[in-house]
Amino acid sequence: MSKKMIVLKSSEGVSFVVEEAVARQSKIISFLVEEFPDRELPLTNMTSEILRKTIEYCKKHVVEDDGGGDSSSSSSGDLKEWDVKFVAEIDQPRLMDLLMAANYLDIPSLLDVTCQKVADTIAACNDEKEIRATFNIENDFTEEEVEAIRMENQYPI
Amino acid sequence: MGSRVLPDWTELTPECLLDIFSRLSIWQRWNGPMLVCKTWANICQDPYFNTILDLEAEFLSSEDSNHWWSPEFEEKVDSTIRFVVDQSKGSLKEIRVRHCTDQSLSYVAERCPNLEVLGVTYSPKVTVESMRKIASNCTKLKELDISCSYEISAYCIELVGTSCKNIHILKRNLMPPSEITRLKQQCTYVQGLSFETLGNVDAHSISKYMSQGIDLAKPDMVNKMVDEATKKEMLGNGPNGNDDLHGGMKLPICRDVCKVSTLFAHMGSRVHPDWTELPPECLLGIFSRLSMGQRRNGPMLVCKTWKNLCQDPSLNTTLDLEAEFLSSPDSIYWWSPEFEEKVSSTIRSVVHQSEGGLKEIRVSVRHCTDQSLSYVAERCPNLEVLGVTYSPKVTVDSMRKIASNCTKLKELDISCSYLISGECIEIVGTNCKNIHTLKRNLMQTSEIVRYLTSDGVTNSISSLKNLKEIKKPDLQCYSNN
Repeated sequence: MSKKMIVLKSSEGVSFVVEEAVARQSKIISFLVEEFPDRELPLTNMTSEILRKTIEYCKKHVVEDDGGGDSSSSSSGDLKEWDVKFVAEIDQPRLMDLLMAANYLDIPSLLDVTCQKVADTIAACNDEKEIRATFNIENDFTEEEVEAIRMENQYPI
Repeated sequence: MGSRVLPDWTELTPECLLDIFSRLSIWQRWNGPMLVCKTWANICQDPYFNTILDLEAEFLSSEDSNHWWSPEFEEKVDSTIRFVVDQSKGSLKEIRVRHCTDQSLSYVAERCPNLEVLGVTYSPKVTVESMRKIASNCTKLKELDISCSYEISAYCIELVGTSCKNIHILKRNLMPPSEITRLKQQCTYVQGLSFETLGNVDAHSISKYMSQGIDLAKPDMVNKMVDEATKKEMLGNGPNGNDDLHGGMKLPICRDVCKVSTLFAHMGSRVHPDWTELPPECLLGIFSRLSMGQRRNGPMLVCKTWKNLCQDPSLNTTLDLEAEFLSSPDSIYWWSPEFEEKVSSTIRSVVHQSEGGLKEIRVSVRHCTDQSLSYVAERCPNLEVLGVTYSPKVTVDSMRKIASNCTKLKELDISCSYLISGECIEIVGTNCKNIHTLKRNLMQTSEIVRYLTSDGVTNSISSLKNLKEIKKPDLQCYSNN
């Protein structure tokens, strides 16, 4: 018995054929599949690279609920480890794309790991200057403003 | 009724005049009858006229849409809104406006508790700030239209959905085709741009384009972004993307379309992504994973966008300094007045930013004072957990305020705050009916037994009947030197 497949198309027009169960981890796709069955779903704002990454994640996280598949789902411990490795390998520009993709496609678990990764990155910075440098953010405060905020929001320790 | 050559129109009954004036638009009333005579002016100010503020007709009939996107025009819309809100004295039920800002919407939220229909379309400057106020104050809302108001995020919709139980229509789309045609006809200085391909670009992008004027020659990018044909196909026969929240099923489509435009800035490959352009809900998700101290020493100082998000009340429901205290090696310094002052100012700023939403405070701060605790008591009616430990300066003064204002209190920890007396506990027990955990060391076992079992121990205990545990934490050395 063959599984139902659906086709996702990236912004470059590259088609990806994915098992429906895999793609359905995205609430948006899940919804679109029901609404427009048997149709290619164009994801015009996702590059092939990001779409490939997203699908890779979803494949790993798919829950085998029909019990027939021999690819038994990984234990949660393994999965966590895999997640850590997965986000560790992603460089910063792509991390943002992936986060946006998770948000856009509505995949809560992917959103969670990507957000956590960004949070960890921020937490690892020593001061705001390092954060600005890391994320390439323009400083739109004046020196005085920064000091004012610091005074206003000081933290005892 | 004898025949008169010149009828006295002011003698028409007020009902008739009301009927007549109600057929005029608000502008027509203001520029006409309102200025005619006192009688008419009075009738024009009848609260009946002020149950509805609908500028849609004016917008549709206006020829001049170019300058709508300017701050001056927004200011005009804002002042119109403020005026009508003032006139209505809180009776406004329906508002349909475009191009307004957070200021006027907050004004509406604070003064129109009866609002049932709100349309804030084409308002790229409206953000979660005012929408939160709308959500919490205008709970009678039945219909919300935020089409083309790009900054109103899914998070806002969630807020509205949570507090406005009667809401049954939610509209959120991008440009309807008619509007695009209009824009296309009227925008003479943006000739390089094809509005067909811009079909699904939201107000934000349009206003960007409008203000950039000549630098528009990038239709390629737009084309790449939205393939209109596929988009139409995906939208199917949806009525212009106007979606009914009913059943929640249509929502993803509009979300989908909106996200397309959110992603607009991120097209193509980027070497340096612009992290400030992440949707606010994503950034909030990230920041919520940091401790308050990390936020305050990091993201808050990075840029304005991040700072504003760090001050979001949703990130300020808990103030827990416990971890910081436990991990800090520098404990002698804690007992100084300077440190007290620091702790107090932290408490004040967090309380301030939480806008009353603070639910949990664990300022196991050596030396939190009566002043800051009174500040908490006055501003945090929703407080559920309070830990004021190692605070020898806290007395019955502020605890009395806590007891009378923070009646939702469930857990109180006053270990090592030795001036908080039995009397304080009694007051708290009497006022806060939900309290179920009380932690206090230096309390003798016999006393605990007394509290838990004796029925002869005053009324306070009967009101403490929900109390499940009185913990006696290990008495760490009161290193008072």
